[in-house]
Amino acid sequence: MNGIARDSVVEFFDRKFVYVFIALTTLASAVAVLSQPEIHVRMDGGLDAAPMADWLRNPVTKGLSLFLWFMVFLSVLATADLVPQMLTRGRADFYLSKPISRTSLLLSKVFGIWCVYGATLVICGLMLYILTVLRQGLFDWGAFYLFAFNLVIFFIWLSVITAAGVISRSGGMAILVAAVIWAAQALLSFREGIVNLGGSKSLGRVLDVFYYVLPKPGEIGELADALALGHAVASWQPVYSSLLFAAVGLIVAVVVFKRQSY
Amino acid sequence: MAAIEAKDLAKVYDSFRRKRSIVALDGVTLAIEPGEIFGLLGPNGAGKTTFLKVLLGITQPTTGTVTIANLPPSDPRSREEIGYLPENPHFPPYLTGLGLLELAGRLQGMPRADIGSRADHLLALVEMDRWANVKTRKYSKGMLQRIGLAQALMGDPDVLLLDEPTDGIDPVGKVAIRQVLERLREEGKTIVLNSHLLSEVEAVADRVAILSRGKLIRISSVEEFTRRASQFEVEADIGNQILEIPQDIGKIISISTRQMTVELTNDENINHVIDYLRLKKVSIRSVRPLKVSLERSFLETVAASGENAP
Repeated sequence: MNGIARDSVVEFFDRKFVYVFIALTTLASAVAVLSQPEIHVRMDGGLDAAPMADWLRNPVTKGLSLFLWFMVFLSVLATADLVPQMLTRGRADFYLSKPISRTSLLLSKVFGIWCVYGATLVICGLMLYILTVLRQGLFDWGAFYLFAFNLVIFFIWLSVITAAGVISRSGGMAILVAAVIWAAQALLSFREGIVNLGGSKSLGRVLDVFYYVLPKPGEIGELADALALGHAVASWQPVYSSLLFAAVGLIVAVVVFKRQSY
Repeated sequence: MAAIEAKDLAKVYDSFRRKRSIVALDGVTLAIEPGEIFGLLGPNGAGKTTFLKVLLGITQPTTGTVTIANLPPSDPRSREEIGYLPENPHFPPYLTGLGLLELAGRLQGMPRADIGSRADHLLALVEMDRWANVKTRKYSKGMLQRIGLAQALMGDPDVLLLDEPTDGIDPVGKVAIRQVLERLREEGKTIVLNSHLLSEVEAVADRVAILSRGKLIRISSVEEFTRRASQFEVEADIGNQILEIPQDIGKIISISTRQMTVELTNDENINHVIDYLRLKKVSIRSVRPLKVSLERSFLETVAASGENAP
């Protein structure tokens, strides 16, 4: 690596956000350890092992999923201004005067941020999960789907805030764009209902286009939950289309970055 | 082969808010030779910093070409042998001085084994070794300039681009930086020095260029720049004698009992002046070409071009 990724590690530990991650993990761990699992089994017939296990692991999986959602949310807030700050006058001069291409500089920065914050997400999540496993006595490999898919979700958001940050050179604008996309994808998941409420067919087609173009981190989260609970996945389209959006976002960020003057 | 070459370089900033364009560089053509210390002068907004940024590829030119060691700025290899100290540096605030130099070394592609020793050497050179483990956010302006110079030197570059290197530095520090520059000159480095402190440029530069409103209005050696054409200062025991020289030779600009300044129609006519003084039995102590400070010459050049001085 050219030093940029390592630079991200130093920057991470310098920021106050690290304490927020620690606080969130401590709080979630306390809830996991102090909660009393109350299991009441009605012995009024034959006991089917599969639904029983599903019923038991559901709160654990849902709790871990919610925790990782918060971690991704905080990570997006924490990282939204990292690229714009790198491009501020005076600091950009330092990076851009070195013999490293702009493409390499930006992608190294994004990779470094993803690695550092992704590792934090996994470490905090694992700590919580191990504590829960020790407390509840239930271990399930399916939980690891949550880690993998939340890393994918963070990557998608990171590409969104990177592209918005490079174009606007503002962390606030990057968060705003991410919030608009999050609201849009949440709304578009109800597009059939919107059309049924009186919209025309053409509106339905427009909403379909937006649905397929925009990333769908919400649906990826549901998909991860389903996999963690051992259910089948109906369609991988949300993952493919969201990754495509993320890739296009990064390409746009690189193209704009290569043309900008600082 | 020139170390740095610019041809018809232009940079126009389009300002949508002000609904007008700002011409930062306007057809600049110049070549800087290897081993030369080149001073870049000009009033505020003349385009000096833009010129350095175009050389580095930080700013894209509107038209024209520029090469460093025959490579365009779009090629990252063109920056392998460049060290740059930006004006008003804002280094990553989370890095210590030592951390900044290590990052600069890694970005410069230095072997890992060499980075530590080189960083230690440069920290001592710019007298920042005591502050090596303090984060740059706590540095004063002068300390940022010192560590900025150190990071520019990290890869032992052949070409140094220094934008206001002594800005915010105390007089002792300025002398230290001047000594560093002189040492770098002895090592054969090419240095482009952008500074408002003209006495500093005069002390170290071989050639200077003046930019005004983006245009290159003069480029010459410091010697030519500071010398007044065919003007001489003569120290002699003139006393109360009334002296006159023929108009076809020149004229006396000023005269006192011990000194006079003459402006001649050409340099060779100084011999006629000397002969005339001997004839008048005036004892001559010294004759030297009249020089003015770079600052005065700069102000006159800029005033003649219709631009305000800094």
